[in-house]
Amino acid sequence: MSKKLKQIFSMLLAMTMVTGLLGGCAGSSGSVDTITDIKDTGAQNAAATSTYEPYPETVTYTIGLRVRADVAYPEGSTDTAEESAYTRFMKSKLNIQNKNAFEAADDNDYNQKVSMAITSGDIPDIMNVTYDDFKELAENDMLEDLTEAYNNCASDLMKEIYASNDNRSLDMATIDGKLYAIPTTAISSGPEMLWLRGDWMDKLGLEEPKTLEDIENIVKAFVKQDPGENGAGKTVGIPLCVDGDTNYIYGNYSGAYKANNIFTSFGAYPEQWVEGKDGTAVYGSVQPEMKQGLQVLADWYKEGVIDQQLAVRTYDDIKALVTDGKCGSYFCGWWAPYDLAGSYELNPDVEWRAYILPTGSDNKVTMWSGNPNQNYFVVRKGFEHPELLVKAKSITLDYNQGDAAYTDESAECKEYLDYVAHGYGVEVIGGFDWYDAAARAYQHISEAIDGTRNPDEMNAYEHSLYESCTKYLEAVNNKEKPEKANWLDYNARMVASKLMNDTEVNIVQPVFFSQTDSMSLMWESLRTLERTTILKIVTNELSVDEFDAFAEEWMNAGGQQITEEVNEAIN
Amino acid sequence: MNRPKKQVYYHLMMLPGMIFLIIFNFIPMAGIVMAFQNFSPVKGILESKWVGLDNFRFIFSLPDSRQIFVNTIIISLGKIMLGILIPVCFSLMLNEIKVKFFKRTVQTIVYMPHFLSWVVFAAVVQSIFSYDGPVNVLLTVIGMEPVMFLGSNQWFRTLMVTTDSWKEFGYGSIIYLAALTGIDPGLYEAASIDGASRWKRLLYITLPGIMPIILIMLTMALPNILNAGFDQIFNLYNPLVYESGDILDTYVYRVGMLKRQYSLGTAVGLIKSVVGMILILAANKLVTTFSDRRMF
Repeated sequence: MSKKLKQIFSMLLAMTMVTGLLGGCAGSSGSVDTITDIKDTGAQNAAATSTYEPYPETVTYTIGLRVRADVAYPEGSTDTAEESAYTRFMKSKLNIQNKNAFEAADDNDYNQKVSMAITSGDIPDIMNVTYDDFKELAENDMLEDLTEAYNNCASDLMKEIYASNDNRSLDMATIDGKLYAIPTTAISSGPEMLWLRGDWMDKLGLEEPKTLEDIENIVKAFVKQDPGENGAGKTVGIPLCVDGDTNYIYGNYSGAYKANNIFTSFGAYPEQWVEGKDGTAVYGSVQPEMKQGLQVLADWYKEGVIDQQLAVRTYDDIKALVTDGKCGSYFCGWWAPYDLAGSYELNPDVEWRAYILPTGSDNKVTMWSGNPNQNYFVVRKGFEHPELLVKAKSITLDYNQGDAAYTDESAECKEYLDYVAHGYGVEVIGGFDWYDAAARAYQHISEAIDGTRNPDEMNAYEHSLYESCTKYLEAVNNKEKPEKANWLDYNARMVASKLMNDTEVNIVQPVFFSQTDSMSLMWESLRTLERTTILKIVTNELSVDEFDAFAEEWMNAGGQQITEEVNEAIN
Repeated sequence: MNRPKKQVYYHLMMLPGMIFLIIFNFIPMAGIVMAFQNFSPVKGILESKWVGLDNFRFIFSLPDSRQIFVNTIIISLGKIMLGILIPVCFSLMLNEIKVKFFKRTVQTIVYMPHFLSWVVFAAVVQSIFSYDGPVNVLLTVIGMEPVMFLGSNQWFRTLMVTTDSWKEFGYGSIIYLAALTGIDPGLYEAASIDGASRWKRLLYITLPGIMPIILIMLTMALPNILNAGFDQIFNLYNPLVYESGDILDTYVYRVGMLKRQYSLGTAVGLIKSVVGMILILAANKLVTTFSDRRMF
């Protein structure tokens, strides 16, 4: 450790020397130097403790950055990730400039480069890392404490956005009372919906579904009566995605092709750590409530209501089935139209209807909320301007989630907005969004369409969606075929989001998203056991009664110990 | 007298290979110490905690470790056996064909799949063996029930072994075809004058002629017994067939890479290398005992 400290010190020393030299070059004579020094210190202090005060001298920070291969810049420009509308805008606002320590083409590449940086002990001033990396770095004292920087420099808007999810995001980034990261919030996707082909339902004269039996009957009719004219036996039932390590028939609420609502309708919360009946944390996948949900799925599988080939289909396979009109029923969040655009392109008569189903005993759907954060922006321990991260993020939020863009007349701002609208370049220190961003967008857009809101009173992204939705409505009024992009924006933002906005749901808050010590070693073994057994029960290879034996085996194979650790961690 | 001088050139030719070997195979061996540590990337090799044999104990204490070793060995033994049998038979048959153009064309076509990555080839396998794919259509035509090949623990290993041979047999047969051309044609002439049938000639001239090559190929394949083919299985398996198809590499990938347990991954790698080394030494011994050839 002492070696590392020495390294950091020597680096710091080198850096101060360089800045000192540069400072020396700037001044011409000794006396002026001292005066500017005093002035500088004042300006430095002001910059370090306020949100919008620019630095007196350009601060260059190093950062690791995702720069996708298909990133575009305005035609004819020589912009790069270090010199773009974004960087010029930030320079004009805060006098900061990024220098990329590494650039990665995709997430995998990025994570590898972060690992490399951590392993070699040479991390950039600012990095965007996963929770695991964040924790490891913090525990090894490699991160700067951002508590003061946040208190001094976070804009009101930033605080407000974090508050939209009860500050859970900040809690995850706080260790021993100190804030070690500025987390990127996750946006709530709202309840999972059952998406059905409305044109098929009309063709077969089917009523709207309300109960589990209704769903079963509709899907059976789709599969047996073949309204899509695919040929006998070619229409598949509800697909559930088991692909790679990320997709499974449950978990990740509101993701596509999952059966979470079937479990929650019986009070089961698979893959979630939730509060059990006795008040302690329990693992949802091994609770007895799971059996009823599994019984439904196993019966449905036998009846052909569930895709018979679920175990061997990839995510893209399923997407192709839905797009080709071979599948007319699946579960997904409000964002489903983004995956359905292909089906509209192939067949403009396609009509998808969404239902928030199945409900529990209180006639409401129960959802669980997800991990409050996507990832974590951290500052290297020893970086002189830790508040730079908070300031840069505040500015981005003001111009994207706030209304600063409407009053700012500067050329840099105009260029920046153009850049946001076209997706030019790379957002170096990006922003994040409200926990309920999807619901807010619906409210703003629908009010603007109804004429009760000035279309300028919404953020830039919402505004672009509003324009897309109005284009859709215009095309429909003129009896023209709406464009694909407008079709999907309207269906996602107005149709599905309206359903989400108008339907009351129960929300269960999982109590633990982190990882305990034993988990890192034993979790995969337990997860393999869980995923294999549950899939076998669903595909009728094992009977539902085997669930109890599985739950016991899970407990004995380390689940008991991990449950205890989780309870210790949250108390 | 000028032999050493001549050898200098040979050694120079080997030099790049040796340097490559030292940089990429010998120096990284220092990383083996990670297998005896609880390695944390932040702390690095020098400051990570020593845990002795804990990682190895953990691997063997896992409830599924026995199954994983069994799967690995069965799948890889199957691949080794089929990977010799099919190329040998194929090259013997191809060798009997006298039309040169036909021979060349067949040879080119069958070794094409070798150059496809498993990501691509897995998609081909998936569509051929899917529930509504051509194989199952054939089965239903002859009155049998369709089989979910990739979701069935009875079929998964067989499928892995056969599709691997399908992909690799063309490439594997090149070396046997080369060996076949090396057999003295005079032997065949003499045998046919003595009245030996084609079958007898195959049995007493051709097979003994390529036997040393077969043995060497076998010896070279044995150390890989714990490599059952990550690319292939990773692209084709699913939780339903973990029971029969989960191999060491896929398991280590899930535990080690996704959960970042580098020490565990290193420990498994070390086990594989040690087992491989023991096997190659043993196989070499066997080959020297039963024939006059040796590898080293």
